[in-house]
Amino acid sequence: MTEALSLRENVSPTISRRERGAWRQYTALLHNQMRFMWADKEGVVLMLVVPIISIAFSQKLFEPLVHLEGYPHATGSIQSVPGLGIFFLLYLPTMLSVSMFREHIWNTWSRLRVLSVSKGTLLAGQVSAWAFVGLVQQALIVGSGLLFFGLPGGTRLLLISVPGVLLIGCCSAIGVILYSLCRDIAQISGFASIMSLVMGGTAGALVPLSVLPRFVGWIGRLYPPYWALRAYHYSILGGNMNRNFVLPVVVLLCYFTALLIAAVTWFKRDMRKLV
Amino acid sequence: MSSASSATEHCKIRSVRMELWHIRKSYGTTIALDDVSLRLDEGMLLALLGLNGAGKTTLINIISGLTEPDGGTVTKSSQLTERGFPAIGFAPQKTGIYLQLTVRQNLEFFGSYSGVARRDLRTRVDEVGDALGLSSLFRRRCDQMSGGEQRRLHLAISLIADPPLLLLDEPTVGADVEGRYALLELVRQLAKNGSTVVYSTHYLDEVEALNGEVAILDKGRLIVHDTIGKVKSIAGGSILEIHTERPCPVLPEIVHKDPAVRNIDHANPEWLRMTTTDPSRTLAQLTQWLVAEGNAILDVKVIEPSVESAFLSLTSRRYEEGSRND
Repeated sequence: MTEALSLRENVSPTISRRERGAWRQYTALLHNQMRFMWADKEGVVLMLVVPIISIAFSQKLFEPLVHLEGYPHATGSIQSVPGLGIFFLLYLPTMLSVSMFREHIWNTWSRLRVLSVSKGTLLAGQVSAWAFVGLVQQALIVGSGLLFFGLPGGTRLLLISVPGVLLIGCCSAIGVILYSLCRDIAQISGFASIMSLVMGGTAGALVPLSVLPRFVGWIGRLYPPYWALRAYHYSILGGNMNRNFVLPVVVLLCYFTALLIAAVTWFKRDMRKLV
Repeated sequence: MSSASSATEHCKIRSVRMELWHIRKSYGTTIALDDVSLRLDEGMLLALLGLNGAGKTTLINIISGLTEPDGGTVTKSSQLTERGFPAIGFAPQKTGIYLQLTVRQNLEFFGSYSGVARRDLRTRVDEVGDALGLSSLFRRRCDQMSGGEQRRLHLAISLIADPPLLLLDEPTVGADVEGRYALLELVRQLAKNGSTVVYSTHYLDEVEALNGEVAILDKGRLIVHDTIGKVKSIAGGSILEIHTERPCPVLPEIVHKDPAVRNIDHANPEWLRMTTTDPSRTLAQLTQWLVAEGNAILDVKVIEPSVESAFLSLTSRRYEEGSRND
């Protein structure tokens, strides 16, 4: 074992200027996150497959409600596709915060932090993989809605992508906030479960708001999913880029900015964790 | 090593890696570090010794930048502050590896993350793996490895980028005998080749084996920092401890007047403790006197000049006792 001790004498690893940069560290982190997703596939399956199965089963359930809303010839997809799409996107904060917290459980967080890596690079490397899963999820849900579940052909894909991306940004920021503020995994799962039910429920993601008491919609306005669902509905029903679309998108953009600032601020504090 | 290269080695001007001035750190009402100043030079092998709770981990975390001190200043050389440069190799006290990845995947990830060039990564992984006896385990998932093997990987990760400053926090805890021996050899070699190594431990034999500089922390204070030879000489002789059957509140004049004897500690009347340059003579004198007094000796200990005797001399506490109490 001692014959190869002269580490520095043999081959000292080259740390080239090009490869010192944040990009190399970012890609290494991203690659590692992808490896974990591949090793523990359950989380990705929950995010990508379960929503589509749920939409398939809930189609008929939503159809009478959609008719009551004033669309007598529509299928249940105009409620189930955006509604369940948004509801299952609300799992992203849990997945992200738990994956970040696991670094503390494995005691690898201190290793990642001790190198001369900016917190921004570290954060971006941790967040990107799950944000990408969120993007794939939304694309799969809308795609399968159009192909299999009778989502109207006039759906504006370009328009729908705007609130989609903003909501993914909001959910990623919420995930980082959850990770930053919670001291253990139990806190994360507790807050995340309540949050997804409250945000999803009051946005009308599970049941159309028209069948719920009026105050539920008012509560929903306090959270990003409500505005995302409004923009989704508008894009699905073939709307144009007017006030009905721009208002929820602007509100979402404000939410995203505020949540991003909060996420970065709390992440930088690097609060102690109980593991 | 040839004599010429050895001479070059000794004449090499050592640059300062880091300086810590009057560092203070508290956790609530507990003072973890109190006015600690330390200078880390190139090629320095510093054994950081102290009982549990002495402040070793806090000091290592401050050196690594993981913890901000409450007071004092930390000055780092430009080599340690350049962004993206793998300046510090760090092995925390608890094993930190990705259990669901293989040994090679772990080393490759931390190598890439540290900025090791792609073309060198494979060679470097092989090299570090060989050095710590991990080559045969490269394809094994870490959750299928023994604790000792995981510990070796944990240490290998800290070496992957050949960092100029290596921080090892109690690295041999949980390591097997072979791994422990290899690590001590490796650490000595790294320091010889110019790395600065801070090695925290509470094992006295490791400090002696490393044969570098010693910094002893006690209750958050740095009580001594010097070469091992000078630290050993602090005690000024062997320490003689005698446990008697009955208390002997008064010691004979012959002991007090003996120039070989000093630092008589008689706080516990059943335990006589003193520093002596001639332990055989002092013991003979005391035995004769105790027998004449009708007392009996239950136990005798002679602690040769060592890091332990220095610790005892500086703190009036036995190192091993403190270690057990903590």
